[in-house]
Amino acid sequence: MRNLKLLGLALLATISFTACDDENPTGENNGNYEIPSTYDFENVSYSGQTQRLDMLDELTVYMKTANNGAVLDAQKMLDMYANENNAFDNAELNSADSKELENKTVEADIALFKSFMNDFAQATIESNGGVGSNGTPGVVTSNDGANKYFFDANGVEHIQYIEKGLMGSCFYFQGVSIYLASGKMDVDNENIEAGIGTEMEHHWDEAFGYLGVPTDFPSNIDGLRFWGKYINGRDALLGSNEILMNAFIKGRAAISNKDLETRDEQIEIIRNEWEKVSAATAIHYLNRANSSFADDAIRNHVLSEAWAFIYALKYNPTKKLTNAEIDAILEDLGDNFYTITTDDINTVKATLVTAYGFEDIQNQF
Amino acid sequence: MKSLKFSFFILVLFTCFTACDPESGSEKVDFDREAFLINMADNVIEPSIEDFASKAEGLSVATNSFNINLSLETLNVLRSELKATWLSYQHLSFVHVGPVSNVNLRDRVNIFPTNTEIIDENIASQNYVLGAASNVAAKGFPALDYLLFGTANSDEEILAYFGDPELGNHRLQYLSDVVEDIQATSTIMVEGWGDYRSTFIGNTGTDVGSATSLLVNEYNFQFDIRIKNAKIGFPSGGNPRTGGVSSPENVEGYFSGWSGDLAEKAVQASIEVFKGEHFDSSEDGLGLDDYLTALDAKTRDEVDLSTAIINQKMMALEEMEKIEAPYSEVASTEGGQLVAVYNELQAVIPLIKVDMTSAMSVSITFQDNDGD
Repeated sequence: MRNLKLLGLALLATISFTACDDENPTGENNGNYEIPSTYDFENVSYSGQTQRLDMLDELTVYMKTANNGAVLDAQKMLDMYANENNAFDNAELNSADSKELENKTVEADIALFKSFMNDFAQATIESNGGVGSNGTPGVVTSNDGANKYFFDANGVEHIQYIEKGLMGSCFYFQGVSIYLASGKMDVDNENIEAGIGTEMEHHWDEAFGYLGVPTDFPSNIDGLRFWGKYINGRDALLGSNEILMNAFIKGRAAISNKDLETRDEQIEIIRNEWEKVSAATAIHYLNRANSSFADDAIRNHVLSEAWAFIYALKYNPTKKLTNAEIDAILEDLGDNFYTITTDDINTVKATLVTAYGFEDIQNQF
Repeated sequence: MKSLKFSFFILVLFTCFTACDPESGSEKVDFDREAFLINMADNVIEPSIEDFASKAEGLSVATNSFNINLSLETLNVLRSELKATWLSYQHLSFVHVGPVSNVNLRDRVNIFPTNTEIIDENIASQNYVLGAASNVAAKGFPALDYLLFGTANSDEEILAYFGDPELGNHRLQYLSDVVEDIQATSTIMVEGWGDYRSTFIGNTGTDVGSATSLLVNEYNFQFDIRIKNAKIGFPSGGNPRTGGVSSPENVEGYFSGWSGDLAEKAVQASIEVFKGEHFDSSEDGLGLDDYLTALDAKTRDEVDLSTAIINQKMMALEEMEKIEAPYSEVASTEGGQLVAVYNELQAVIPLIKVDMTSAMSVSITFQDNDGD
């Protein structure tokens, strides 16, 4: 009996010591908290992110009407971008006043995206439903007759520049450069707001919201959106599904357990992996441009995609290439996809392959 | 016996709870927070306010001399008085409490980049209220930087700018008004300090609104937002928010090229204030460093937190001292050097904004931008 009592006391003392030990946040307590298998935590909210994904969805649907010859209204695109003048069909988005794509875009890029929208609308006005070719904006049909895309006079598909471009300059930028950076991570992690968590938890959830995957990804791959689709698209070669998801889950658990060292390790993993997905996706499209080199519609379309995924590489604080290097790559890609050469495409591809160490798998993307 | 066992259990439980409670945890620490606040008040903040006021007075006198006699000599004296006041500001802006906060010192005298268009319009229209929100970027030190360095390409031409038979008087008037606004600000702070001192040293808790909480919050804001971001991170493109795009025109002291001197002074001041160093004698008083030492605060790598903070700031200073040219030139040519400074400054942030505040049980009450 006495022994039992002593044992109980010893046990209590241990518990007490463990519970009090927050002087030791060096990662040893990593094993002391549970890391769930899905993104299932208390007080998770990222509705603002979901709304922005919805906004880009609607904008894209509208833009794609140009592929069937519609003339676009620049103001409507600008209004959707800034969430003004009830531009969306989904009234919920219109009433989410504070949420918009524009003010979450890299500031230096806002004018660029607006000019894309203006140029795009102008090209559809010029074309007025006509057929496109080098020097003439308009709709181009793939050789097999299955796909139609609207290109400007230089073969640029603005839809890709805008949709995929905003995936980079808004979603990816916000995810890795804003929410997982000091301004949003060196914040309060004590006061829990019901439904939202601590500030730090909340910011982490917001970064996760831009990934566009369900909380039980990757065992569930239904409803993948934007980045989610491309992460899954490269998964066979990169294995990014689990790497990214595990890092997001582990980092969130670490924050809730004040284990900031583990959090920082996960930030590094997320930044690297997300960047790899963008680079690999660009290479994937460059490969397709080569394999469909003689098909104006497919080639221009996939090169426009590639442009956007390369451009996105700028927006990671730990990026492998400098902005000047990325601009140089885009320059190699040139400004006319009707007159691009295989050499141009291969030059761009080689630079990316070397920078990201994809030598072994470069032709499989 | 049974009840004895039970009460023993309660006792153990109670001990555990007390030890776990971060609020009461800091109370038990052997640190005289009142003495710390008194040192900050009397040996750091008050003399810093006084110094700023005396420099502002010098600036005002030099402006009058310049007004009376436009010459290269009076222009250079005026410029050096501007620099002295601007450097003094770098210290005072770290203790943005009481009257310093009431006059909103940072926004009132040092919003950069300055808006030269508004300044030119104000001068042309002769119709302006410097206190208006629309004029925050048209006054203070950055406006003087423009007027005394940026209005023409050579000293002779700048003298001619102010000596212009038609517009010269309007320009001199604007110069005087901007200087007057700075000096008036300093007078309000000097006059307000006396009353505020007792409030400050009497508020010895660590909750929101307490003197320690204010000091720690303002200290962090100044370091994180106004130094790391505004002076270095945004112009160099080092801050991730910029997407790596540099903007040389956004440096402090763009026209005079004093960006480096001002930023180095700011980081030095951050160390002095952290250590509670007496403003006038550099004697080491009770500061945030002593408080952290008393709390036995450690970094995540188990290094003494006070030491880590000072060392990391020294590393930032070392990087800064390697840069000779004005930051605007560095940002436009080899931004990498400034990004290196940014990275060293950034490494301070988790130490002061997370580890320090957590050790002191102080909540950070500002955000660097909106979230959702």
